Amino acid sequence: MSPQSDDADLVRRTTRGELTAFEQLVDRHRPVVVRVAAGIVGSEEAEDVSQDAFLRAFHRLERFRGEAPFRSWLLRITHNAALDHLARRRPEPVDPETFDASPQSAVRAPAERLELRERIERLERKLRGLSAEHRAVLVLRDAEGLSYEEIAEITASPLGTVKGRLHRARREFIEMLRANTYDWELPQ
Amino acid sequence: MTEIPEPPPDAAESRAIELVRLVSLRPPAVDPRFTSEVVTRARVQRAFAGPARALGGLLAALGTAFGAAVRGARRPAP
Repeated sequence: MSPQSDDADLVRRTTRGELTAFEQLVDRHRPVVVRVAAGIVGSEEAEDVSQDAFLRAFHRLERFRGEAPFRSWLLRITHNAALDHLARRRPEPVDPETFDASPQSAVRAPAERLELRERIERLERKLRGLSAEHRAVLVLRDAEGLSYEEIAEITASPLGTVKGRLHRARREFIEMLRANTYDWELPQ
Repeated sequence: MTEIPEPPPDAAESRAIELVRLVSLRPPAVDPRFTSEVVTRARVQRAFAGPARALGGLLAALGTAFGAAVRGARRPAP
């Protein structure tokens, strides 16, 4: 059975009242939902947004027609839940100093893992400097590797808008990264 | 669904993509009870949703009936 038909079967069973089927759906899609939520709202609030997305999906399962894959449908709900969450939250001031994080702090940490963690944290802070729409397309395309068509479905945007937004998001991110040549030039 | 071919990203874009992927390598830690909490909340919300809808329907019907009664009482007798 393909993952899609498997999902469809789990959705059918959930709408018939089988919560164990819903549990399987949550387990199966939790990693991607949490990653996408984290990409848009940040790691700290990703879990709350993901729970909200799964509950919204649960109450709308009867409206799922199976025209698009369940994952796209669920990620659309996740994307909307994340944007709603950001709209309710006060705008987070972005500290300009985080764009110029000195390599000195990393040099002081001897362990390679700590170095990598600090680097990822700096990159996360830079990503937070982008608009939510730009973060969403970057995480869906560049981190998750979804097709433009699927991203258009998830963000409810025309294909051309998705491509244009992705191009602008990447350029904006590149400019931010170039402001701190340390992360930009450091080999992985 | 077929992906429309696109020109390969330039060097700067490739580097940016690489760094976005690096960030996603570290997904946030999720409480091990995540799934059970979602399912419990779903169960509770579903248990309340039916009675809440019924109560809402009842209140709406009472409101309509009350409105009709008030309008009827105000109407002058022929």
